[in-house]
Amino acid sequence: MKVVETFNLSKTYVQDVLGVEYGRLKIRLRDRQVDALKDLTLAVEQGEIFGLLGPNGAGKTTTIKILMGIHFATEGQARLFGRPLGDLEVKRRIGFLPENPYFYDYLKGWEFLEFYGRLYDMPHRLLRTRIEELLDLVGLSHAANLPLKGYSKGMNQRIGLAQALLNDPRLVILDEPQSGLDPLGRKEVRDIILRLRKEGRTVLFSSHILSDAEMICDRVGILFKGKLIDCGSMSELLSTRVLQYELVVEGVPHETLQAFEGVAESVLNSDMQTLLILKEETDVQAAIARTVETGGKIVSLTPRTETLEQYFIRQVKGEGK
Amino acid sequence: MSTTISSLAPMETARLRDRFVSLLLGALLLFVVFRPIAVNDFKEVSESGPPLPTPAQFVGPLQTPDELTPRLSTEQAWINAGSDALSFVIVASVLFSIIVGRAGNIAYNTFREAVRNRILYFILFFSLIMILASGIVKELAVAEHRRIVTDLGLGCISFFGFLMAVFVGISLVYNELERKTIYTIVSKPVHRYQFLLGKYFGLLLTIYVNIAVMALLFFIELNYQMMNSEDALIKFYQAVPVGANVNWLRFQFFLSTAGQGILYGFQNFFGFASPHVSLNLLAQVGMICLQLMIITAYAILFSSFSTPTLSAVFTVMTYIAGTMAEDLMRLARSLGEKAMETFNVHQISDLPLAKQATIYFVHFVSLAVPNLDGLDLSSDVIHKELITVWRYPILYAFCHTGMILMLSVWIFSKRNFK
Repeated sequence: MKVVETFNLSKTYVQDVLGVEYGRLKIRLRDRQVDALKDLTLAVEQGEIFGLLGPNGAGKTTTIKILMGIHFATEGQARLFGRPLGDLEVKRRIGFLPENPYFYDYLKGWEFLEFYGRLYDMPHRLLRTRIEELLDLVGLSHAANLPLKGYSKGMNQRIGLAQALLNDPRLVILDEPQSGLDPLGRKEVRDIILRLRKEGRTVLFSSHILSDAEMICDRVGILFKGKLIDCGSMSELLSTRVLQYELVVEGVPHETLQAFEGVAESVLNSDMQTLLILKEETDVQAAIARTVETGGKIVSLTPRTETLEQYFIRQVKGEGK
Repeated sequence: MSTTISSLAPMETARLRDRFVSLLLGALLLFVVFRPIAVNDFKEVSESGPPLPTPAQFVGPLQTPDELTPRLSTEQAWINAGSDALSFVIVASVLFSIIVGRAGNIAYNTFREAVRNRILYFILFFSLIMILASGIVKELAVAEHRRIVTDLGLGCISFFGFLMAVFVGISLVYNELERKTIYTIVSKPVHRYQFLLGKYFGLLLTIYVNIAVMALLFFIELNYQMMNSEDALIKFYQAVPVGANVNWLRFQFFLSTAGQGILYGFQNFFGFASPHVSLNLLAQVGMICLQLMIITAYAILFSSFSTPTLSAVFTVMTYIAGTMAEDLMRLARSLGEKAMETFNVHQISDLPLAKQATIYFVHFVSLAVPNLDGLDLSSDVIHKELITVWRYPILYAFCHTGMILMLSVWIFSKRNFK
């Protein structure tokens, strides 16, 4: 079943007289227009982690804002759980974490989650246990009674994640969940996302940190200048062909190394070890044989396939032309 | 807790409920828009005996209900009473459904936000100082001490309540948009109108709580000042026996009057007259609450689409125009009379078109601005024994607030958030 569907979704931002964007109110000056999104059609299946990737200003956040009913699409349609946007019953099943979240800083952590839980009409006792669970999950149990005013950026992100999971959502939409977090925090967010999938939830998130996305996404959609330039699973998008081999050897005589230089793409020497970058499999086999012959040791051999980053650069460059 | 995707059945009922609520809101809109017109119709129809009002009378100031009442026949009075009751039931049920619903949560949170806002306490602090200072200011006047304390106190309540509506109210909605807290609220199962109305009621609650504090202090102060009047003090000093410790007796007198002042203050606050203060004051405080109900709705309206500075300017201007509403009506009337005299005609429709346009424009403006003037009883507070609060001004306040809130909800539900 498709959890998120969009059909030819387009968004044009127009500044009006007061400098405010009014959406469906048609008070418009035609000159100051920005096409933030053009004909976006995509679908997210149930139970998968879908990554919306692209450089800054590609339309990731705009897409999410339209899905969440914060902005109205200029053209096109979108459906969540097969229902039109804005349906309250659908909103009951969605958790949402905005980009760089900022919450009511006069509330304490607990009060904040309680207030949001009440908006879901959750019974009091259930809400209480749920808040405890979530604070534990995001590692904020110690800060439950501190005002949000004193929260750090990372803590804000965590409490934001907690509020997104309050209602036990079937679909979790996260806008840049890892921005502003340190490597440890990013790993924790990644673990939480993987855990959500394990629990059978669908996760849609946007990111420009490609390495993180590569690790967890089932499928990705690549946005560039408001257009979807590619969409599919990781294996579909990235060519599985090995681009190069990285061979690290040790204790090889100097003359042999010089001989390698003719074959290898590059040869890098450090104290003891040498890194050889080779293109062809036959070269690799020859180099290994040669190393063993001359009494050297093989430290490691790593075949490199295309990374998402390389793919991304290829795509974006291709689009630029 | 866990909801499965297959359980989509309850959605239909929820949808129906939402439809019903919006239908109810729509009905309310129609009702509040046409209700005043309907009242006017009753008025016209009932005048079978006396001649119909001339256009000059038509553009005159609002007729007070006591001028109207004798003309209504019994059946029409019953019809009016019935429709009033119906309108109150509709308004009350909508308010109830909002307050017990999710908007209630938002209202409570707004109240919490406002209560934790420092500006509120500054305003409250200064208002309390002003009310207490009225006891000193009264010494500047030769007579009418009671009037000075009353005017100053009521003026304070009205003015500082207005300041709260503007300074606390306008930042409330704007902050939500500016800090993007609205993003997560919108993603929760909350309609945008529920959010906006929640903000409105939370703000109103804050203002009313503060007005209650100010009113209580004002009643205490007034009772105390009345017991400490010049006459009372003269009598006190005359009664002091020769050789007694005057300062000690004076302190005792102060303690007893202060105690009685507090007692009488609470008594007034809960709707009982005291020997010094009639219920007129409570009626006027109620009217201030109605005025602020309208002004707060305007604050919410302006801040739903504009920046805080602009909203503050708009709200202040609306307030000023509102306090002059009846002057504007009088202006329209005297313009009409003068023009008819100059051109020697008997009907406004016989005047040149430009003149007519001016007159009707002024009249239109006087009707479009919120008639806060008509909700102000302060001139009657002192001069009348017991003022009567008519239902038309009250109904008017509810209708006007309803219309303004509808408009803000309409704008708010269509706009993109930053």
